[in-house]
Amino acid sequence: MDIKDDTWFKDLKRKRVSGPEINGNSYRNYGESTKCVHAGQYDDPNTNAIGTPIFQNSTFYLNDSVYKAIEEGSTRDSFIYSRYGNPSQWAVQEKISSIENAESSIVFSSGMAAISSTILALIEKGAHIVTSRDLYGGTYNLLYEDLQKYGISVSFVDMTNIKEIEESINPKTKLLYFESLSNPLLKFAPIPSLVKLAKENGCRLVIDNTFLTPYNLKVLDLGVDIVINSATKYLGGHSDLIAGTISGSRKLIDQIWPQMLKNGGSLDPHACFLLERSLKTLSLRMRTHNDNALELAHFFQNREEIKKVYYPGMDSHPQYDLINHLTDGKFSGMISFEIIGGDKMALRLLKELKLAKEATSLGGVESLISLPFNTSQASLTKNQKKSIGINEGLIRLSVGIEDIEDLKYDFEQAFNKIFNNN
Amino acid sequence: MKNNINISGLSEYVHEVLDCPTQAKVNYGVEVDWLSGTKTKATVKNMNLGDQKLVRNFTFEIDEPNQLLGLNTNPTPQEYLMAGVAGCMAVTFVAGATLLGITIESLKIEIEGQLDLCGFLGLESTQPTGFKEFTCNIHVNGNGTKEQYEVLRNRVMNHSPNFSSLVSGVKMNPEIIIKT
Repeated sequence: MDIKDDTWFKDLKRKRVSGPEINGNSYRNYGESTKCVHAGQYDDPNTNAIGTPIFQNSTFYLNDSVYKAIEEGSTRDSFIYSRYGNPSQWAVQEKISSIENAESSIVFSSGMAAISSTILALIEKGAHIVTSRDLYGGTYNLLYEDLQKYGISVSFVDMTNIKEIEESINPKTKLLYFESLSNPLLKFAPIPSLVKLAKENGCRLVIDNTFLTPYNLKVLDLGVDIVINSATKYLGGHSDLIAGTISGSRKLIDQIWPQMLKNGGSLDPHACFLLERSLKTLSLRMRTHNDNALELAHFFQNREEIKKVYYPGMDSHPQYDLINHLTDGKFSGMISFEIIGGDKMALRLLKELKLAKEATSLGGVESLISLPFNTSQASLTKNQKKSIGINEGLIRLSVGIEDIEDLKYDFEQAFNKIFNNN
Repeated sequence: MKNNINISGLSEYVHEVLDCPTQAKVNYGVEVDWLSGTKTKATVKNMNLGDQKLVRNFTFEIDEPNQLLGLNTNPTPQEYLMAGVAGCMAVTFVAGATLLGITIESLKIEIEGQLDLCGFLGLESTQPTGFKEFTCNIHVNGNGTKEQYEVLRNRVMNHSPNFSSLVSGVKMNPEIIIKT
């Protein structure tokens, strides 16, 4: 080999670029609905078929360019094996990157696969994490039960109390992890203040934006490092798939990708197809979820059967001004409310509803309703529930895209039945 | 990956630094606590790499042999110094080999040096207190040519940070902070 006297690393040519992309057109200068419909979609050039085919294959032909990628460590940009990458994954990832205003995204086989891979990739042995007491149970269990095995410590704080968050940061703090809207009380993470804190302390900020979605708030635009979605919820939107997503800079997503390879949790091509198809209607669906929830929240507020309504789009919400400012008046489709008569009446209400399905999960086209006391917060004692604000009669409603008059009528007839015995 | 070095990632980092030179700034630190006698314990401080904080959770102990008043439980400060240089040279050598397309099967870097403890003891001597010279052998097996390995050795001498620190010298002026 002929070596120039000064050949060294400075002569390497490869630059970091966004992606990996199969389509190469992110539609970044287009509107939300256009991005949702077109970005990432791979139209097969051999058949002229419109729409990304389901690439239901586990492996790919090896060739010289693949061998080169393996040798140089650029395997994320090649098709080798479907856990590493598959055209169905790339297509939906490209669409998600476009919707999130991200350089890069990864789809996972569940929200928890996305969360666990992200956290494990971003922390080092001995690191410390600051997070919320109101976390989703699956994430809470990972942080509370498992991470100490790896020498990681975690502080659980009030997500709305920036002073408490700041005081809990120490020199080992590597990660601030919060949900943009909490479950079930819909507290809002003060993202601009968290971004500032993270920058001041050299930490990474990860936001689980499942309840709000990128349609309502693009947290990466606010300076968040990584955004996570349980795509099972609004992104999938039809209660028919389990998936998770992460998005951010190519640099950070490249850091998490090897962790995904080690943990498993890549998304199956058929689920990729479902997710990509669902995302085409994300804007349409979210507009209706938002509108329905706002109207239903006001409807509940005016009902004498309801003691309290939790909805970020009502000015009674303590953080209404901040959320309204950041989301431009888009508050998503989740409502929680407390019914007179406690858990007993709440249970009766669920049985009398005709449209809202008594089920866990959220974000589907159909309204889904459940009680935190016997689902997400079932392991807590009465006092523990009370201390975090889970009061008797609390109901969580994921408002679907049904006709709003039908939804209101459904609740009205159910209220009448359980309170008036009509 | 050849030699388990991600040359694509290294290339991306080079261009990241070209775009934003502060990404090349790395801060290191250690704290060494005296335990007893000749024994000390080193704790590695957080690193900063560009805009990233890297939490370091590593400690190691340092000792002296029985013949030099120690308990011989751990390597000496001199051995850690030599190992720190050799480890840095090895990384530089292998990454450089990967850049040149050379597959390394084995690599051993051997460093030896002689101290004259007269300086430490305060006895009159014409010799310096520290090491005057290290001998260094690079034992390598791979598909490179002798000429390529010689080029790589020269690259290591130019680009290995610890090698450079050692041969060029590092300014250091300890200050006393009295603990009350």
